[in-house]
Amino acid sequence: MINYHRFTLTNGLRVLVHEDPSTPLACINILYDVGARDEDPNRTGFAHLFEHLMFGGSVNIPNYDGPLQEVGGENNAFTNNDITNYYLTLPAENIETGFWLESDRMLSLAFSEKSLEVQRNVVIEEYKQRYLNQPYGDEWLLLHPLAYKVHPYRWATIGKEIAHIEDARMEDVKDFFRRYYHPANAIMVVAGNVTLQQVQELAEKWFASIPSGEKQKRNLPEEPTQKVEQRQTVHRDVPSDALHMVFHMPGRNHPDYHTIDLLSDVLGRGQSSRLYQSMIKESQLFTEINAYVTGNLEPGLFAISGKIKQGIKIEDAEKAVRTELNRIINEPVPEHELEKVKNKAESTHVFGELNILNRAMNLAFGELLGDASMVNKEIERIRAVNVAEIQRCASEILAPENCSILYYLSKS
Amino acid sequence: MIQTDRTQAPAAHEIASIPMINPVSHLLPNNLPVYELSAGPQEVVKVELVFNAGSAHHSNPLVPAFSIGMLQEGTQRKNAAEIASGIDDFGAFLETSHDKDFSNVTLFTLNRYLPQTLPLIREIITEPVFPEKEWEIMRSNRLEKFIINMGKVSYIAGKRFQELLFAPTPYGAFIDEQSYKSVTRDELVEFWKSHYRLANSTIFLSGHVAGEVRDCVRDVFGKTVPLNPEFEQQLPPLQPKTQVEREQFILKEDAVQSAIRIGRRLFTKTHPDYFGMKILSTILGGYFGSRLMSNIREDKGYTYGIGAGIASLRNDGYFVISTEVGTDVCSKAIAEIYKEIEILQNQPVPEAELHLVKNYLLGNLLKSFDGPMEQMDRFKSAHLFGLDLSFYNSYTDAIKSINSETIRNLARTWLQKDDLIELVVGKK
Repeated sequence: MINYHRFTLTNGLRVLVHEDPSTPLACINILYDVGARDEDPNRTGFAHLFEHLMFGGSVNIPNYDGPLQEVGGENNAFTNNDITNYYLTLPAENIETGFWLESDRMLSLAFSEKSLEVQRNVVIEEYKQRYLNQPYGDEWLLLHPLAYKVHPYRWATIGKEIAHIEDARMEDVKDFFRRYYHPANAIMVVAGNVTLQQVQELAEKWFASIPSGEKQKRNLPEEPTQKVEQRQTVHRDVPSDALHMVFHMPGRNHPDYHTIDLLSDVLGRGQSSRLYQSMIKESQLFTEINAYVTGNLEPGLFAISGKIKQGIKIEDAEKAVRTELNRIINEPVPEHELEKVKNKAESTHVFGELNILNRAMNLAFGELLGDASMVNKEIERIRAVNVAEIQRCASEILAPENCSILYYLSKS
Repeated sequence: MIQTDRTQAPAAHEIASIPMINPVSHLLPNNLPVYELSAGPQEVVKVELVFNAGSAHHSNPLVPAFSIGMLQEGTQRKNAAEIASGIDDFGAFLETSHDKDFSNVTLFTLNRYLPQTLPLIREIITEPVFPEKEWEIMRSNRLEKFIINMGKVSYIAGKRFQELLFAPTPYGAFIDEQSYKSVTRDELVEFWKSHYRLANSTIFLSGHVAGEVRDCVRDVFGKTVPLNPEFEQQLPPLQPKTQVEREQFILKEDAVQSAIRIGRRLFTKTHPDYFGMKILSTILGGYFGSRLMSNIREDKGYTYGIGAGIASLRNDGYFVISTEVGTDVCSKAIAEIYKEIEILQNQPVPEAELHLVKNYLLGNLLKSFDGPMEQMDRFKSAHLFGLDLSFYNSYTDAIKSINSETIRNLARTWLQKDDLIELVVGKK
């Protein structure tokens, strides 16, 4: 149970407060409603590059990290297709420093040319390190455009190509900031050894004077229903073949989301799951295999990913996975198996609550989805899933025409 | 309305002390030692059995690793699938892991399912059968993962660096594909018999540890015949290391990044310079504003990340700087690394920077004690090395009192270029 208070400033900033006197820490999580999906298709990778730039100094504070470290704090951020999320943790008695830092960079960045140049290079190194220099690194760079032809999810957060990052200019940066980095487009959660009154005073002092901005109307092209199975084969310098099968599914707020999430757990979460037992243990076609959902806000993907064992033909491995999928479509999942994955989901949720920053992030995400209190309704929603719904969703989602398949083959 | 002055940082408060909870310790009726730490409202518990048996306890480091992994692949009464269900049915998590000194079997569960899941933990430890089929699956799957990993410059560098530092002692055992192929099932069974025994373990409980949890642990683990606890063994004597060439290079033709590891053997946690070196390596590369990060990432853009730190084992330790950089800037990056070390050897760290690092470290320490499982991890990190929580009081004192001159002297003593091994994997 995560207790919280909620208020909104006149400039539109939504603020949530979760009091926890048992910890000596406090954290601030600021979620900006902008992600890779909001990018110009000719200027991809921008939301993520911008996340880097947010650490390059703001209008009144040339160095973001230093003052935070000075008071014993630390911070990080991440960007995905949907959102950009910034968070810091520090000793609770120094919470005001967090307000000072975050409010100033919401007010305005320093926009230095040097910062843009350096972060361009850093992001290019990140691109190389994560996606080019690792075996299997570019799998998702391929899967995004394979599964999506129209919707902005067709490119990965890091960007379609390095050139887009190389060509980023200061005018683009300033425009991006103006459109997305303002109070009406942000949700701030303050959690830890703080009080509501304290947060209200600090929010008023540091954030209230930031001018509001215009909430951008999101008018993203819808991905048309996929009617034909998609396939792609690539060859890479890797020791084993890999297989990816992705299926379109509804977005995070859809009533079927939890059902489909549990479906992926029955299929492929953990060592007692169907795919692990049949593909790794019994038939020994795979050395590893998982089923999971991307969790996107807009219609996302249900994915099955695995590495094929040496000497096995990938076509046979795919056939075997299909057989397992047909089984779950045609035969109702036994009650005890559904109970098992519900127990696992509940356990994960409760363990997640141990960490104060986790609680703050979940509150922010819930607020973005329209209702922060959903963090306290998760277990109820999970428990409400039933066998008939699982079967219905399985037959809708796991249909062959809804599938995009990537054969990622070893050159040798 | 009073205009808030955004150019002025708000008043900062120093961290007075770190709240530390000392675990309650007692012996089970059969003499097994248990440590308990209870905090927080979440009704979850972590039960961890630590064995004095890491990968350095066998000439083939894969034997201890495979042996502990195989415990959950079949017992006298249950096969692997039944064991997996026995845990998953209750939403619990079972993990086996190891490092060079210790191996662990860990259960995470909601309190209400502890009675159903804990007996299974005892069962996999006391009556595993190492089924041939599961063993061959595990061996071949892990070998395939190893081959994939050996395609990554960072993996190759991390592995090779350990071998260079510590060979031919058990801490530096060489691993290749043949190491995977040569392990026999008999070796796994022998190692389990000699090392993965309850008598060779210590139990750590953290989370919501109420009376029922205690009773359950006592019922499950405490009812054997009285054990002769073996955990506190003598450490093997230190052996001489092989002298290696200072500069090492492994070519990887298609690399777009090169991995760099620069470092040396150091000492254990009880050494008088331990805290000082921890602080020095933080300044050099232990946080985002460090010398290395500020130069090589934020100024030059050569890398996505670079760090420096020290690590301690029971019988040894080391210092290492590590990073992956664009191949085209590899030599330049190496030059900058040595330049930063030289600066620390010749110029005292400015007061403002030292003050910042001290506060950062204290804040970090505070965070590392937040919550029952974190608190227990800190206790284990001291206890398993023959120390207690006063270790962290000493650390706090060292942070608060260290001065620039001491740091400069430590850099001169321990970071001489001739003493540092430099390993590059990729292209130079």
